[in-house]
Amino acid sequence: MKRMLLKSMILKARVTQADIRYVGSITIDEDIVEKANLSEQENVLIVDRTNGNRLQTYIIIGERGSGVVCINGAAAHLVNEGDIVDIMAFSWSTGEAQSLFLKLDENNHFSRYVTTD
Amino acid sequence: MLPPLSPAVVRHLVYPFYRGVRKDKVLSILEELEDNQWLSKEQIEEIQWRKLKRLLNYVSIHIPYYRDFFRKRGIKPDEIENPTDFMKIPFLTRNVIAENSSSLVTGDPLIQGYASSTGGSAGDPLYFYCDLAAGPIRRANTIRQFRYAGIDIGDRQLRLWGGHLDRTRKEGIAGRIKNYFNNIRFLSSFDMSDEAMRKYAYIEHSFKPSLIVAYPSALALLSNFCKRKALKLHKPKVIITSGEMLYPEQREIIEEVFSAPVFNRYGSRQFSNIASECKQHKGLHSASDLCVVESIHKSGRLAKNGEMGELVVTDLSNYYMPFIRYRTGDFAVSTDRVCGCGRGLPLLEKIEGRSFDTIRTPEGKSVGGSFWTRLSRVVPGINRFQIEQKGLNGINFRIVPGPEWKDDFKSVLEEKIRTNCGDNFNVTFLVVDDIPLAPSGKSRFIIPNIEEKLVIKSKIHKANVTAVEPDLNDCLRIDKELMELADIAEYEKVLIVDATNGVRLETFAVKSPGGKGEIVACGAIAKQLSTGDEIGVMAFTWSREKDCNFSNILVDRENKFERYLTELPGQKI
Repeated sequence: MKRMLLKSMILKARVTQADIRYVGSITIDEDIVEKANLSEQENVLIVDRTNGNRLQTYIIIGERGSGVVCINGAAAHLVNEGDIVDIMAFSWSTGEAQSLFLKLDENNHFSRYVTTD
Repeated sequence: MLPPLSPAVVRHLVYPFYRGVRKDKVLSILEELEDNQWLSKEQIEEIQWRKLKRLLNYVSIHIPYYRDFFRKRGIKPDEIENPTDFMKIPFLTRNVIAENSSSLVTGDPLIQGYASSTGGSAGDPLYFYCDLAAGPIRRANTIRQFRYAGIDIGDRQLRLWGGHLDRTRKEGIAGRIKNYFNNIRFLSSFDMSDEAMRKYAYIEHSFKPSLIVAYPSALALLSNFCKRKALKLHKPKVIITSGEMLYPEQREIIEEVFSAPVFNRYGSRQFSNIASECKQHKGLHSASDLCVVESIHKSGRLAKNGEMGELVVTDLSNYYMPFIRYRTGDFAVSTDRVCGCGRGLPLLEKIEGRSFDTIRTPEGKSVGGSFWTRLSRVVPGINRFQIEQKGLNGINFRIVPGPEWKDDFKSVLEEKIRTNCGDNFNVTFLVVDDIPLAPSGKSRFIIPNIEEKLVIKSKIHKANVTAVEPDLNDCLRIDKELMELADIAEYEKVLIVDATNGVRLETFAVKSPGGKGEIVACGAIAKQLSTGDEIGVMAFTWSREKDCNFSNILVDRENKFERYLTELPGQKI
């Protein structure tokens, strides 16, 4: 049986921009996208630890090393600049989950993989 | 077996006679192509653009898929005037071809075609059609590219190849006669047993080819074998490798064993030969008078000078089933450097095979083919190998051993792998008798782990809710034409995001008769959406492909289609 399993979770990212006037979805630093085994267009579930909001959108790749985590468009109604969010992605697979948990530093740069939160 | 013909006899008598019998125009086309290559970059672009305009005009009339596209988009081929305009035409992918195979073929009785397919080294074979009239153009281009390396019609050619098998079987004795009169001998890359390779070395030595054309993996294998066995070989003038990515280590061993320079060539069954190295060996000249090669950066824009991008190719000669903006899945660095050879044909550098042919380490690093080919030569006795990703943290390392192989070498290899891929990387060695080839006869020595991921495939941007119907069943009714443009099917699940009030919800799409720009929130969703709200409508799919075609459309205030969007970070509309 195929299951939807957690593939990657980026923990406690700080939202660097949230603007309704800009084109939507989430822009993430290319380095973090790679480290999290994600890709352009991939669906993610964003949960806002600051205000409790939850939303789904997809990834746009941002400049490598910039630490950008930018949630624009309609989603900016639910997320504000400076909020702390977790970003999850799921895969459709058989077998056991091999989930990656990524810890970031205060500049939204990759710090290390962790086993649990 | 008859003795080979003299190259001069083939070049001046047999070949021109044969072309005369076939009444095709290979030789006159060749003259034209020969002239083109020395023109300036601007002059070549002018030729390319003229041919592209002609093709676009043609497809807007004769190819149903593109006729619909131009009609729905409300644009004319004439309005496509520069490379940025050209990007408005959606990518052609394997999936698009599979789903639209009949509407991609011309209805014009004057154009004849024939069926073809790829060998399937990238997965399932792709079935498609070629324009009969493109055949002579492709042949002429191949000869032009042979001449980059100093090889001409009639020079003896030895081909170590897989794809010919099906064809020679079809042609049977006629094919063999043709090869004889063209001074071509075929060796099969399917059979690379010691016995076969010994025979190949003997044939090479006695046939004395000027040119060897081969898959790099197969020829590197033969080179290693001949070196190990100290077999006598004839020194050809040049070697052309094609069909797979050429790694530096392969080039090295081939050049060492055959004492001849390697010229790399890039092409595919769909397009024939796209680009080829000249004697400068600094990049490959693409045949831009016959095709358009765009290099697309992963963010969706054209790659800049020196950047890596995916090669997206348009064939300017296939009118039967046009390939326009076909995503090859291959990557290269584009450059505007002018080549020292004086040719105006643009250069591609560092062509890298399929991007997904890499192994991922626990640290998130991608380890590509060069590392593994180098590794396989650290110890003796690895005849062939294959690396298969197992989960996120390890690999299966399959080895077909030679006589020098010792099991102790495993620890040497493992240490090297750990140094590069991290201490937590698991390596399982499997010493096997054989590693099966792809159906094309090509080797795949990296098998990545490709999981299914959820990706966006459709989006309607900035649509306006035209009405709410709380009494109907829950769904979003959308103008039929918008659904087609965004590739959303009837009853497909959609995510609606409301830019006016921030609400996000899921339901399914239902077609509304086209043309009026209707977007109606029906049922319970009418409690959360209001007339006049600005919404985005998205649909996702499970995909194994690296990139999934994304139909992302922008509409105006009346919900009329405006254009396809490529989203870039920090963009305002």
